[in-house]
Order: sequence, then structure tokens, then C-alpha cells
Amino acid sequence: MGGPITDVIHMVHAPVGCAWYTWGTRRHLSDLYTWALPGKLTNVAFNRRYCTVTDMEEKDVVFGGMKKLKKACLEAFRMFPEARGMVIYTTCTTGLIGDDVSAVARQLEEETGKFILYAEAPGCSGVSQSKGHHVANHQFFRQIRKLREKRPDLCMKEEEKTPYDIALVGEYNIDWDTKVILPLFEKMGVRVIVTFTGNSRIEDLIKMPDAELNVVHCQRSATYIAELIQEGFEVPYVGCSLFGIQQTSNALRRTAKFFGLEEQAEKVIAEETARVEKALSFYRERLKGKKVAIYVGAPRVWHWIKVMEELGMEVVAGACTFAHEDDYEKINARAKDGVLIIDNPNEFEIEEMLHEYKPDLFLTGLKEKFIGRKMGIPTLNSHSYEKGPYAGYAGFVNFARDIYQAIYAPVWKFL
Amino acid sequence: MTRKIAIYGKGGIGKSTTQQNTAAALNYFYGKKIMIHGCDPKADCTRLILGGKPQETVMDTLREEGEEAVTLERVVKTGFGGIKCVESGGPEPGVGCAGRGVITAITLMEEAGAYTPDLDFIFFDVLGDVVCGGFAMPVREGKAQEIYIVASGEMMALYAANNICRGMVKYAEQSGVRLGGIICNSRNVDGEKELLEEFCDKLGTQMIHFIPRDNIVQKAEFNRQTVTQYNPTCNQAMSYKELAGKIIDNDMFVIPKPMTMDEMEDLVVKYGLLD
Repeated sequence: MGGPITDVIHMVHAPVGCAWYTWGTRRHLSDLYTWALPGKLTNVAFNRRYCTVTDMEEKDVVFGGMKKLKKACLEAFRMFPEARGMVIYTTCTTGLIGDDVSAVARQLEEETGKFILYAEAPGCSGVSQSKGHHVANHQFFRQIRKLREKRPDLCMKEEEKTPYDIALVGEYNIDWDTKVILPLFEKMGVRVIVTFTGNSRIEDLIKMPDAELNVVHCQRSATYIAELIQEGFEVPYVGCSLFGIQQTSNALRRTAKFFGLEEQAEKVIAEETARVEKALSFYRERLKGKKVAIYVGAPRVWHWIKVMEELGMEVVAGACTFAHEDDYEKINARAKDGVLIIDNPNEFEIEEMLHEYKPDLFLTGLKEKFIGRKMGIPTLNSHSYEKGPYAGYAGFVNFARDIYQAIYAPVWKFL
Repeated sequence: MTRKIAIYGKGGIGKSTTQQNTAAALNYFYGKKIMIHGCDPKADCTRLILGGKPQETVMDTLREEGEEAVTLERVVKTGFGGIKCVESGGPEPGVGCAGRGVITAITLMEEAGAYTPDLDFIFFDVLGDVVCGGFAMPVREGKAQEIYIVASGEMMALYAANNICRGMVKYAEQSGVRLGGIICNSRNVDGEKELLEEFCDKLGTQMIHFIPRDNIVQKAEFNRQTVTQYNPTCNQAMSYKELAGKIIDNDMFVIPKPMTMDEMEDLVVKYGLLD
């Protein structure tokens, strides 16, 4: 959730192993041309290229890791002086020994003059990563509110504001989703001032509460901050899905209604739908009647049930890793009778699901794709996509194309 | 066979004093070979045996020079009566993880072969209450087989003792650790002996010894000595001799039955209303 922020150093305060998974595994892409300094090349996708870690060892655990943390942070700033700030993440080890990360952050802020945020959400504090998102949302909100009070110059100036400003919340720019999403809003006359947190700059994130409306895409990981901004700054929010024709159109309509831009929205929707119709009809014809199983984090299971229907496909099974009750309510509202839903399945349950429901396509992650393919079931990387973006209208064509290519790959003839 | 003993008790009750005086008595009067492993981050469990000489701790050595530097020559010191001493050491109060330090230090000492079979007794002197998994380390995996709890007639000492028993019960089945008894380090409280005896009875253990209060202990401490070294013929030295003898002959090892908070409160009321 913090990882997509582009112009900061991400510092994991942990033994070295904890940082491995954060390093370039997700395709939350970013451009960073503004970082170019005289004599220094532009630094594209810095946030994915580097992950820094304090490398806590036994002796640091026993004697406390605060000094080491501070030293590591200063060292990272020396190595990457162009970074605008830093986000420090605690882990189980440093959470348990109670290192005061906020105190180190304050010291660093004073000494370096950069933005230092921190997320004290150790893995052990909840049953899944979802609790970490929850905690980090609250801490992030508290920290930007404090920053705005301390330094009003960081807020958006009145003359810069327009009555049509929104923040796109819970959109992490997987494989350039924002490239297809943002123009839709802009075409109907709405300005996206910041995305939380896909391809965004730390300074823009501080301006989040200056928007007129928050549009929440991933409603599992980011509704928390939208609620906090609603309470603290009286900025309302709407939930939406930006996958498929119908859901994307609804998202635009809902946003447009708030601003009185219904007419413009309908124009954009008609235009965009017409643009992709021909391509989609090609795929629709070939994908009709195919059965799909979906296993991803949480919201995409219910986002994608509708999307599959639009392609004439049928979802026969779904599973989530960290869905909450409200996710399941939404899944149940969209799923037809007889659809199998599993909470946090293990490998055998996944195997049984594929065996019993025989889907023609398995939308899942990298770890589970092998079991599907070994059983002769095509899979798509549904966390980071194959060749995205998948969101919006244009992205939907990519999504349909990848599904088509997966199902009709010649390799399956040899089974 | 080496008997491995862990001493627990409320902070400030006199664990380290009692433990060092007992160790000195075991050595002086009974000729036993002894090692003391201090598990308090303050590293003050071996001061009286070593004559106040500050000891390089295991964790400090590890921190400053790395694991290879932690050798027996570096961290084991020999004091009064040839008693070997090790201190785990650990962080300043309020930072890091002292419990992890105890685990690390004991593991390093085992790897270095510090707990040699020629020893008659090894004492683990553990800080205050059993606050986390690290401080329970001496009773896990059979590192210590016997526990003695130092207590007094003060209620908070009994609460702590009861709490330690609760921690012990968890490990008793898997590691075979047993409670050898409760040592009363007297505070001259009214009805102290009776209260302690009833308390021990409820726990299913014994009050193995009642150490009277005597200023000579403090006098010896000012001289950085145990009572046995300071004045081996005084009454207090005889009392520690008696305790040492009881520990040698002890055959009452039990899994304690810790009391509930309600039972503890009843005991408080009963003895609180004596006068």
C-alpha cells in the first residue's frame, strides 16, 4: 500500500529477510522524470528498483534497533539524495521490541528536512495483511493531518483548487491502470489531484483532503482513509469498481452526479464504449459460456464477477485471502446460486476446487498458477496482470485479450 | 550429576543476595563446585562472589566484537571458592529485548560448553517476575530442573511467587522442571512464617528455609562479600549453611498448584486482620 509512492525511500525496519518480498514483486509502476538532476539520469520506477532495510541482527534485537534505524535512514538519504522523503515500516521483530519509530522519524525530519512517514503495522498484529492496511491507513491519516497543521504551505492553495477536484483512493497503478483510468475522469471535466497511492508523489498525498470527493477503488485496503477524511475534513467518498464496461460507467456516473456533470459523463461513456465494442465482440464470441474460478486478495473477486459476465463467461468458484464480512456480502450479492466461495483456501482446497468445478480459466496469483497449469487449466496473473492495464474501457480489451490468449493457447491441444 | 537450579522471585526481594550466599555456603561448608549464570540485564548477580569486580557480559561481548569473541576465557570469571560466574547482560531499561538476550546468552554458553559435567550446581539467577518467554528460558528444555522462589511475608512478594508458579506449570510437563521450595527471606513482617507456611501448603510445596533478617548481610554486601566469606562463624552464615544443606538433601520436587486471585485475596484478608 505504501510501496507505490514513487519519490520516497521505503525503509523496512527488520531482519533482512522481511524486506525480500517487498522488492519489485508488484507491478505498481511509476514514472519519476521529475527526479532528474543535472548530471544524473532520470530515475524511473525508483520505488520498485530499490528497497532498503535496516538488517536487524540478534544484538540489535537485544539492545534495541533505534540507533541502527537512524543510521540506516541517514545512509539511505546519502545514497539517494534526490529522494523527497521516506516511509519507515516496522515488522514483527521491531514491533515486539518496541523500537520507537515515531521518535526516530521526528529526529530525521528535523535533521534532513524531508518528509518522514512511518507505518507501525507489524505482521503479528492481525490475522492477515488486511489489518496492516487498516493500521497503516489510520497512521498515514494522522501523520498527514499533523503535517498539514504544522506546515499549511503543504496544503493545496485556494487559487490552485477547482470545484471538480477528486482524489482516487485505493488505486495502486498496477501495470499502468492509472493511464487508462485518469483520462476518463478528466474527459468528463473532473480533475484527479492525487491517487492514493499509485504513481504518486509524497507531497501530493499530503493534499488528499483538499479534494471535493474521494473515489475509492480498492474498498478493502483504503476505505479506512476515505472514512477518516470524511470525518476529519468533511470530504465525502464514493465506492466504485473500475473494471468492465458496466462498472466503470457506473463509477463515472456516480462521480459525475456529485459534480452535476451527468451529461458529460454519458458522452464519455458512449464514446469509450463505442471505441472498444468491436474488439470486445470478437472476444465475447469466443469466450461465451466459459467457466471461471477467481482467487485473489479480496475486492477483485466481486469486481470481476460482473466483468466475466460481460464477456459471457460464468464464475463458478471464488476464493479470497483476506476478505472481510462486507466483501463476502458483496460477493454473495453478485454470485449466482451454486457458486463455490472459499475463505483463505489451502493448496489442497484449491486443487479440489479446480477438480470439482473444472473451470476453463483460473484467475489467480503467481504461487497458485502452477497447480492450475499442471491440471490443464489456463491461468492469468491476477495480482499484477499479464500485459495490462486491465482497468477502464481500454484496459478491459487487454483483459479480454489475455483471457482469450490464455484459453486458446495452442499448448492446451497437446494435453 | 550437575544440579541445575533457577532462582526466581519478586524484584528487590533478595534473590541475588540469597543465591550468592547459598552458593558460597555450598562451596565453603560442603565443598561443592558451582557456577552462577546471571540472567539480569543489570548484570549484578555475581558481584559478591567476584568481590565487586565488574564482569564483561556475554551480550556486550557479542555486540562489540561479534559471536566469535564470546569465549569462556572472555566471559567466565572465577571468584570466591572457585565459583565460576557468567553474566548475560542486556539492554538499558526501556529499549530492545532483554528476554531475547537471556535466550541468546544461554544458547551461546551451551555452545561454548560452559556447563561442564564436573560442576555440582549451576545457578540461573533470573530477573524479577517471569515477564516473557525469554525469562522463562532457564526452565525450558530442561536447562534448569529445580526452581527455588525467594519470597517474604509481604503480599506483593507472594503475588509474584504465585505468578512465577503459573509460568512454571506451563513448562513442567514438557521440560520436567520442578519446584524445590520457597525460601523466605524475612522482612520481619507479623506472622511471616505462618503466612509463608500456609502459602506453601496451598501451592503444594515446602518453605525450605526461613532466613532471619540480619544486618550482617548488608555489612558483607558493602564489603562486596558474601556472609560466608565475611564472617563464616556468624549466625547468618550458619543459616545459609543450613539452607545449603537442605538444598543438597532436598527430595521434595513438585509441580506447583498456583492459587487463583480470589484465593490469594482470601489469604491477604486472613493475615491482614491478625492484629
